[in-house]
Amino acid sequence: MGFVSLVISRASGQCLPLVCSLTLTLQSDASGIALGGSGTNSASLSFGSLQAFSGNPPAGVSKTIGSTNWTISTPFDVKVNCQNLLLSCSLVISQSYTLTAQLQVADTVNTWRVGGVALNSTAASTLTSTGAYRQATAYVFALTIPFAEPSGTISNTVNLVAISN
Amino acid sequence: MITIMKSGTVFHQSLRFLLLAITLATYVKVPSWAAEDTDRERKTKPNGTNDGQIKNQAPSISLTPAVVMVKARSGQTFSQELTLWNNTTQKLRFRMEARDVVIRGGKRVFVPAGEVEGSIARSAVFSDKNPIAPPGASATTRVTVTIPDSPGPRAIACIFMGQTVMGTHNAVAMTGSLGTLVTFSLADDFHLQSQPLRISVEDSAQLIAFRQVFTNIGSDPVVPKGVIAVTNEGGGLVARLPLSTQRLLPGETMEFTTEYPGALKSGKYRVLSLMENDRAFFANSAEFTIK
Repeated sequence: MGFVSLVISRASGQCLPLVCSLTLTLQSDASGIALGGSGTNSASLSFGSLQAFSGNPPAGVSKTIGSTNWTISTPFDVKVNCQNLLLSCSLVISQSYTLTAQLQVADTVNTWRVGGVALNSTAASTLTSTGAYRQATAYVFALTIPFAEPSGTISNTVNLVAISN
Repeated sequence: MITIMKSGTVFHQSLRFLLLAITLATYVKVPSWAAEDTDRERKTKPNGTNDGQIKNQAPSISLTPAVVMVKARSGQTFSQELTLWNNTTQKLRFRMEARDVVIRGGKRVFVPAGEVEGSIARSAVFSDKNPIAPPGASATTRVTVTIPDSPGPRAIACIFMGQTVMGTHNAVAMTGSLGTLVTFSLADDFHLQSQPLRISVEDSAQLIAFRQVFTNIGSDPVVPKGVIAVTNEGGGLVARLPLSTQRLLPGETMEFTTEYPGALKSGKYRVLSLMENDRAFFANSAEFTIK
């Protein structure tokens, strides 16, 4: 009885230059609303109860009235760092990063924007393809609500993904 | 040996030695990965991720490694450990996702696995698809990728998709995720197309800026490294300036820049941009005059 030896070729035995360790922090912006969970990878923007034509938004939140809709917006900060590692194969070859955003749940009524880029749930939208490391970059979160929409609760999750270039 | 550098330009052997001399002075040779590093965990652990340090550090998540460059051939299998460090006081859940990285409209787009022809991400298998990182600790998964016979993209992103969200009632939740970029060189097809070298002299700031735009027209990713060499009328080397190193995926265009901080004497000067990527060499030249 013989035996079969299975040989799988592998892409190994060579230097694999590992670049750095990528770090992400979401934090409150000085001129924006305080983030719940600020400084972690999960944060929340709690706007409370708002109305288009009455009441004032919380500090750090702007309200803009349009002809058919109204928008609330506030800035928040994203900080990405690339720390060099001590591995023998390390090379510093990542000068910037790409940041994308995507809605978790589809919303065909309201318009969600981060940094001026409209978001959807089907594909990730690129907020920047040349993000600079070590800098807290402010992005404005904006939610546009049509006047025709009945009052109720609006909630969703924005997933931010950072990837080295 | 002659290497084609840009359309209509040929790079000669003599220039190659000049480039080698300049680049070797700038970059350190990469040693081969000879043996298992027993101290690797300590070395790969990002700063500030020790349990006792969490309270003193800005809460964050870190991913090691950020980029992996693989040389392989179709049909080969590649495997890599990915570690997510949780530098927060909260338990974090993730879902692993592999996406193909393609260039559309000059920009990188992260396409779900299987949506492009020859998808590499489609073959990605994670040892732990739903890793959980306890506070102050890490979660590790191993991704194994088999390169298809006719691969389309030359890069994938292996993403730790954040699943832990804060309460979403009356609130907008945000989750942060990190991805490792894995690039694949499969054919050693390194071809760059260059635009004319641009030089701008700012008299007031006494600054000379050199800008070189490259487009990757080959089928493999390139990370060109190189320098700008400035010579005077007599051919003497006046300045040697390293160019910013950036990764170009196939189809991608980027500008490489460097600056000379100071004023040059009046006269004519010649500029050579000399770039190298894994045995492929690229060059371009221009002239400028300082009055």
